[in-house]
Amino acid sequence: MAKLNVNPTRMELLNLKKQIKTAQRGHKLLRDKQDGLMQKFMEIVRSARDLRKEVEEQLQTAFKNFVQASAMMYPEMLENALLYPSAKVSLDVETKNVMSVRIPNFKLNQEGNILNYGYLQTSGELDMALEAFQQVLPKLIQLAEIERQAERLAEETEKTRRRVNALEHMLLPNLKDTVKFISMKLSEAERSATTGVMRIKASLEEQAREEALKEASKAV
Amino acid sequence: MENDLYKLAIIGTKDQILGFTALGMMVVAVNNFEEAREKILKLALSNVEGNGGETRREYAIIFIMEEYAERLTKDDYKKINKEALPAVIPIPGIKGTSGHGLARVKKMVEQAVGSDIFG
Repeated sequence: MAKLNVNPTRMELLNLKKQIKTAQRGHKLLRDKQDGLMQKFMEIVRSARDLRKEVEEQLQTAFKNFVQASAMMYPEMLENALLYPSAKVSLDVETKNVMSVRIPNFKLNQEGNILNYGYLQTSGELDMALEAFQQVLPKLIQLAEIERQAERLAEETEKTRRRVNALEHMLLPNLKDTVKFISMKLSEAERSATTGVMRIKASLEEQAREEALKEASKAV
Repeated sequence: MENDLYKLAIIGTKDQILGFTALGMMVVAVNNFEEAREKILKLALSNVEGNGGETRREYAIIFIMEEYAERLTKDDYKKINKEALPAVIPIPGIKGTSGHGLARVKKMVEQAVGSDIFG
């Protein structure tokens, strides 16, 4: 039994009871939050796993294509060809609030042509490799989005779980034990006060009786 | 008000990621892990002024080759992940996946649920 270090007074008892009520309400709220987070997290993480597998496969082929293509060209040529891209990518980012966790949503903006070089000194393989990259990109962005969301949610879920556990297994039992301790102490004090009064009353009555006897014997 | 536009970056060895320049991404070529670590910390923490005058992250997503991502320490990640952005995402190189990406997802499940329920 772990009780808090407080004075066993009626004042403290009232305070503690109030604290218990607050802690219980907080515990319920946090548990609801945890459930909500968990639900969302499971949803996201499942799709994250599948998408990652898919993207990794596609990306590997794209890389292979690219390396093969670059092997067929002079490195300087390759670099020259890729030096001035006309394509531009940028992201619109919106943050959504899920159970007070801010998670990002990405929207891809693409413009320009990815094949921005002369065809004379470049190989057709390069075109194909770049197109493969281009095809993977939206999926990569999507993967980034859900993985980041999962990451944020995982962090928050862990924090919430710790808080719920701390309330449930530490704070609440301690408070309850302390309340029990104080109320026992108080009723003990009450009983001891009653018996004290009874004893005093008894001894007073005894005195009175003795005095009455003395008076009586004097009179006789 | 028009939305802020964020940038994309990719960190890896030159011969592999060069192709991404054509897509218009910011390509950061590195030769070893130390360089990669330095670059990612720099990119992940770089701020710019947004449309509304607030400071925000410059990059929304930073892709990094798995071989470098798996050597980043927890402290590095703590620095990187302080805010909602950027998303640092490991991608497999030409050698194929080392399983680091999936292991990362698995770790998230462990962190959130307390045990790995997907097995």
